This record gives sequence, structure tokens and C-alpha cells, in this order.
Amino acid sequence: MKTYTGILDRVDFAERLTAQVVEPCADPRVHGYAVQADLGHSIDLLEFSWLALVGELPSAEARAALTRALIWLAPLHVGEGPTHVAVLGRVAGAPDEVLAGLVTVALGQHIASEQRSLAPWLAWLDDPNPSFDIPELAIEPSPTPEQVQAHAALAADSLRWFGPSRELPATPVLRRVAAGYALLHRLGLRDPLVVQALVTCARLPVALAEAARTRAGAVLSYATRVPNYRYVEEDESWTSSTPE
Amino acid sequence: MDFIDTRVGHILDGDNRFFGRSVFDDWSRSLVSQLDAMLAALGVREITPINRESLRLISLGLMSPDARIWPLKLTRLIASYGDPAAGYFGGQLVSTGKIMGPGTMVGAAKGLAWIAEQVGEDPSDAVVAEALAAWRARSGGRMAGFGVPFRAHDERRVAVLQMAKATPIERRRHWRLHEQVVLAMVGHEPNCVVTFAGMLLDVGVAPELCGLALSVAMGHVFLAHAVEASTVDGERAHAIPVEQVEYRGVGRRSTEAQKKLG
Repeated sequence: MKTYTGILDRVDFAERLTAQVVEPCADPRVHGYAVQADLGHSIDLLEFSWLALVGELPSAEARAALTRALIWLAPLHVGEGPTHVAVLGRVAGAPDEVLAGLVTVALGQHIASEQRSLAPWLAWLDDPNPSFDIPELAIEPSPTPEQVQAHAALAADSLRWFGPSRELPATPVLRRVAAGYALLHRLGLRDPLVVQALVTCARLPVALAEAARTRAGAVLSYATRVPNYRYVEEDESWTSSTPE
Repeated sequence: MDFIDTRVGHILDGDNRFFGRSVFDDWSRSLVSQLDAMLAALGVREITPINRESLRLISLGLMSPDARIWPLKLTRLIASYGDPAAGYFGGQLVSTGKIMGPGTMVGAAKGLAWIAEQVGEDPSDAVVAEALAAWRARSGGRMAGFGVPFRAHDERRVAVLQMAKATPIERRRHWRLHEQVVLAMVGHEPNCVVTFAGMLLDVGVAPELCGLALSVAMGHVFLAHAVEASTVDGERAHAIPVEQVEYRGVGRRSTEAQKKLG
């Protein structure tokens, strides 16, 4: 058996993995708190997620705002990318141990796309004296009475959570997703990875729930032609040579 | 610290090693196309013209890239947000399943390999039929690689049989065995998977890796859809209008807290 010494053998890499959140020990500690002896009976999963990502336990106001944000952001129907991927993945026979990963890839793309499109709205929120109107993409075009009521409650709650200078506007009625991301923004969550983590945690069970109600391999009861693809050809010139 | 031994590769000064050979010397002289490196990666150590031709025919046979085929549609859906790499790699995660091509390929390859082990070289049709019956008895009555949905024959298998006609591929052991298995499976239409399983076994791919080999061999189809969908599909793919969604779940209801609010 032969071996070699090469470039990567000579680089002075760190010799140990670095842990900054979970301290590996008999009762693992998360940012210093013991999981079995403390957190398991003193906080809920949402507070635990916040602790992991932010580093401290949330205040009562932050917890309430986070709950509202994530529940508002959670539902994605089967026509929306990640849930469609979950159902289609099931139809195509993706095994259970892979399906969550598949959906998480789609969620990552979907959330990043939302973050990009909502950037003007989040910029509006950051401006103490905004020089432009609330971007249209954040406004619910024709709100139902229930949405008007829910938004009024959200605006009132946001005043309590964030104070008079940072509450969400009482009018117009915001789109559900725009309001959800606004709450995360007001909570100070600016790292896109942290937002990805929290929104993925909220949406993954919903998307997988649709998949769990879909029979693996059921291609005939799945709307294969939604969306519909049509194969077309243009007059294209191809250049390829064969070996002489 | 213990080492995990790897025989795949190593970065050296001025050259690299890949499976025991110099990349810029040995491999640069012997590598005909990327297919050669793929064969090496799959554990094949005899990279010969007939093995290259087998993989070429499999790749051709797998060029059936209708966007509505479920794993490809999945690739397009993910790529529709704009990142072809996410679509390409994400979509192929379904290849780990048992229902679509790669999953059934493993079953077909294991079946053929098991039968080959039982019957030895040049068996009669009757001996193969007997071994096939024994394999089916062990695997819940199934022999993977049969069944052709939506049409009478699998055009991919028909075409590959035609292209392999009168070539050395036809004379290889697992190819001949697969033909005998097809003969014995009366009333079951063979699909391309059982043929490709025979070809991959003849190439020297281990049965449990034949599904992965199939995935790799049709990578171009996934790639084409990922690339196109990333610039073409957009919201038409990932934001289907609610009019095209039929809800069949539980009827509307309220929590106790909401009822109290009226």
C-alpha cells in the first residue's frame, strides 16, 4: 500500500471541531442551559428554537410576536412550490428519510425568493420617516372582513410588543406573508440564515403533512399536467462531430 | 487520530492522483470522455470500448426527457426559483427511492445477479426459468424491470436492443441471461430497466450500485430541465393559482378561544 504527502497535508488546519451552541456532555447544554435538567421542563419548542438561534431566551413579547409570525408564515398550499415538491416527491417515491431534505431544499429557495421580493417592504420598515409609500407587494389588495379584523389585532399587538415608534401600520391591511416577515424584522432577526431556519421550522411540518396524506407512487391521482408543459422546437443549428 | 483510508484521490504538487493513477499523465492519456471517470467512480476497473459503448447506449436509452415525468418535474419545480444547481441536485434525491427507475434498477440487478449465481455459464432456458421462479418466490413474486405503463412496449428497450444488435454487447453473460429471463416472464412486458441491469452487470457495476449508475447515466436529462426551468418556469411553476387546487380536507372549524371571541 502506497500513500502520498500533498498540499492539504501541509496546511496548518485547526485540529478540533468548534462547538458554539451545543456543549457535548452527558446532559447537553444549549448556550449554557442544561437540556434534561432545565430546558426540557421550563420552556417550549419555540423558545428553544429562539434560544438556539439568537443565544438568549426570548422575552414574553418576543415569544408572542414570534409565534404570530411563524403561524402566519407556516401554511403553504399544494400549489406553492415547497408543498408541491413534498407531494410530488412522495408520488415519485422519495423515501421518508429523504423527503424532508428534498422539501427543505425547496423551502430554502422559496424563502430566499420571498426575502428578495420583500426587501423594499423591509427597507420601508427600517426608515423612521419613509419617503415612499408602503410597497404594493406588502398590501392585501382586497382583504376579507376576517383579514381586516386580524390585521387590526396584529397592529394593536405590535404596539404592545415593539412600542409606539416601531408598531406595524394599522392601515392598509398587510398581506399575511409580508406581515409575518415584518414581525421577524421587528424582532431584529436580520441574518437570512436565522430567518431561513425559523421559517423552515414553521413550514416543514405543513408541507410534509400534505405528503403524508399522499400515497407513494400514486401517479394517476396526481395532477401531472399542473402546471402544463408543452414541448416545442425551434429551427436550431447543432454542431457536433463524430470521430473520424 | 485514526485514518479513514480512501482510494479515490489526492492533491499533490503539480499533479493529482485518481484511483491509483496520475491524473495529468496516466488518466490524460487513457481518458476518452467523462464516461470513463464515471465508470471508475462506480468501481469499474476495466474501462474498455465495449463498456463505454454499453454506458453510451444506456445514456441514449435514458434520453426520454418529458418534463411531466415526475422526478424531472420535481427538478423543474425546485429550479423554477432561479438556481439550476438546487434543482439538479435536489430533484435527484428521489433517486434514492424504490419506485422510479433507479430503485427498480437495484431490484432488477439484484435479481439478475442472483439468478446468474444459481445457473452458472450458458444455462438452458429451462434452468433460467427455474431460477427465476426461485428468485420471485424470495421476493414476493416480483421480478423488477417489467411493466410498461401507458403504452404497449418500452420504446427505450426496443431501441437499445436494435442498437446493440450484432455487437459484442449481445454476447455478454448478463445480457443473454436477461433475454432468457424476459422469455420466462410470460405475460409480463419488459421495460428498459431489466435490459440496462444486464448491461451494467456486464460492465462490472455491483448490483447495489446499479441504481446509482442509472441516476448518473441520466444526469444529462435532469441537468437540461434544471437549466431551462431556472430561467423559464418562474411563478407559473411554483405559484399555481388556487383555482387549480381542490381542497378535500377537514371542513372549516374554530378553536375554543376563537369561539369565545365570537
